[in-house]
Amino acid sequence: MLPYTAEILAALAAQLNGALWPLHLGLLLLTALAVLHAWRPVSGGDRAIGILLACGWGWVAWIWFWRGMAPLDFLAPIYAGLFVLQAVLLLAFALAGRLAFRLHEAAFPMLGLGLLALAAVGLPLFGFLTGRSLSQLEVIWLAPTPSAVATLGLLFLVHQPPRILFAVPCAWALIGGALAWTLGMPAPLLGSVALLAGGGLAVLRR
Amino acid sequence: MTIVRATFDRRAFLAVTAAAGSLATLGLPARSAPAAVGMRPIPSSGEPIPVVGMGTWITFNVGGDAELRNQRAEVMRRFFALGGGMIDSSPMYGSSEAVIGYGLERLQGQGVGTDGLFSATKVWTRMFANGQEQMAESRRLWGVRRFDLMQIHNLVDWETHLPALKADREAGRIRYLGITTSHGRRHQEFADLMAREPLDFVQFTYNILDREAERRLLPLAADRGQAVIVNRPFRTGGLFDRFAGYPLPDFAAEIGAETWAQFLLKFVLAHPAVTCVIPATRRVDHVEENMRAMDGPLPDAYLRRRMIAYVESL
Repeated sequence: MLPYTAEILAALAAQLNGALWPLHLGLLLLTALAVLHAWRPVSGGDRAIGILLACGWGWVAWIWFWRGMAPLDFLAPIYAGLFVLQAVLLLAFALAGRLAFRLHEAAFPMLGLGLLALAAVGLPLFGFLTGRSLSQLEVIWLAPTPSAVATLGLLFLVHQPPRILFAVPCAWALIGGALAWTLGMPAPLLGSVALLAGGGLAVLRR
Repeated sequence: MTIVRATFDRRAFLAVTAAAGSLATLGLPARSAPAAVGMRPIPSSGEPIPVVGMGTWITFNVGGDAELRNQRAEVMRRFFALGGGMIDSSPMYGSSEAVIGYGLERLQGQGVGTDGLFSATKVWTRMFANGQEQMAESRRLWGVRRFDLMQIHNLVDWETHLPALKADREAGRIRYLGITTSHGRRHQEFADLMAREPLDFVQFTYNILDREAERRLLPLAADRGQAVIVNRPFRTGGLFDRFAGYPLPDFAAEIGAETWAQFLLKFVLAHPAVTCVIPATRRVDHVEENMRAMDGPLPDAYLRRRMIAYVESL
C-alpha cells in the first residue's frame, strides 16, 4: 500500500514542469545532440555525453526523488540512492573512456533510437492519451521512468556498452513498474515494460 | 448500543459552538448546525470525543500543491462544522501532517473554530531517527503546543517509545498515549501490550469483512478500559469497490443508513468496545456522508449478523 495516489504524482509532475519550463527544451536538445554525435562523432563528445548522462541521473535523483517525492514517500531517498549509483557508474565509465557512442557500430542501433523516441515522445503522448493533462506529463530528465528509458536507448547506441550499466535501469523497471501497476498509471508501466525488455536483451546478449 | 448524544463538557461545548460559528461563516443558517455530535467517553478519563473522526492516510499526502492543500482544508472545515474532533495522522504519511497544519492555520486565519480538534498522531522511527525530535517536528507541522494523543505506530520500536510516552503523559506533554496496528499485523504482541501496559488508546483495523479484532482485541480493550480507534473501516476504499454494483439491503433503512459509507460505519460503531472510527477522505461530500453515520440508531446484534450475511453474499 503506497502512501500517495496517482493524482499526487500528476500534481508533482505539474509542479516541476511549471517551475522548470522551458528547461525541457534544452534537455531535449541535448539528447538530440547526443544522437547526432553517435551518428557523426566529434572529438570529446563521448566523454561529454557520458558526463551529461551521469548528471541527468543525479538531477532526477535530486529533483524528482529528493525534492519532489521525499516529502510524500519515506522510500524516496532509497530510490534517489539508486539513481545516484547509476550516475556514479556512468561517470566512472565516461571518464575511463568506456562509452563510445557509435550508431554504426552498435549492436541494436534501431532499438536504441526507438527507445529514445519512446522516452521523448511516446511515453508523454501515451500519458496524455490516458488522462494526464499537458502540464502533468512525465518527461525525460525530470521523471525517472522516461529518463531510464532514454538512457537505455543511448546505451544501445554505444559500441559494446558495459553490462553493469543496465542493472540500475532494470532494477528501476521492477520498482517503477510495481509502483505504476499499483497506482494504475499506464505510461510509466509501459516505460517499465520497455526497460525490462531492453535491459533483458542487453544482459542476455553474448 | 447507542451513541451518547448531547453530553456536554467544556470541550464538547466548544466544539459545537465552533461548528455553529463556522456554519455562520459559510452563510448557512445556524439551525443547520448539529445540536450535539455523537460522543463516546474515553474510558481512562471519561472525556467524550466524537465517534466519527478522520484519518489522513494517503488522502492528505498531497505535498506542496496549493490547490490540493486548499481542497483538504475545505474537507477539514466541513469536518469541524459537522462536529468532528479527532484527526489522526503519522510521520509515515508523507506530507499529511504538514497539510493538516496548513489546513488548521488556514481555517484559524479565516476565523473558523478548530477548538474541537482532538489531535492524534504517532511516533514512527526508522533507522536512526530520534523519537523526541520526530514528535517535536510533528508539533511544528501541525502547529500545536501538544498532542492530545500520541501513539506508537505499528509498534515500531515500542520498547524505546513506551517509557518515554509514559513520562510525557505524566509531565503533561501529551494527554493520552496509545499503540496502533493495521492490516491485522502483530496482533499477539499488540494484545500482550494491551494486557499489561496502562494504555489510554489502541488503534487497529476493524470492518465488516475484517473482523478478527472481535475475537481478542475488542473484548480486551473493553476489559482493560482502553479507548478503541478503528482504522480502515472501508479497507482504504476497497469495500466500496467490492460493493459498488449492489444496492443496500432493505433493512439498512432501519438504522437510517442511506449510503454504503453509513452502512459500513454504523456496523463498526455498533460494537460496544469501539470509541471512534477514522475514515479517511479527500472530498467534502464524503465527509458529510461519513458524519451522518452519527445520526439515527445503530444496529443491534441481530441486525449486525444480517449485515454480515448480506455483504458476504455479494
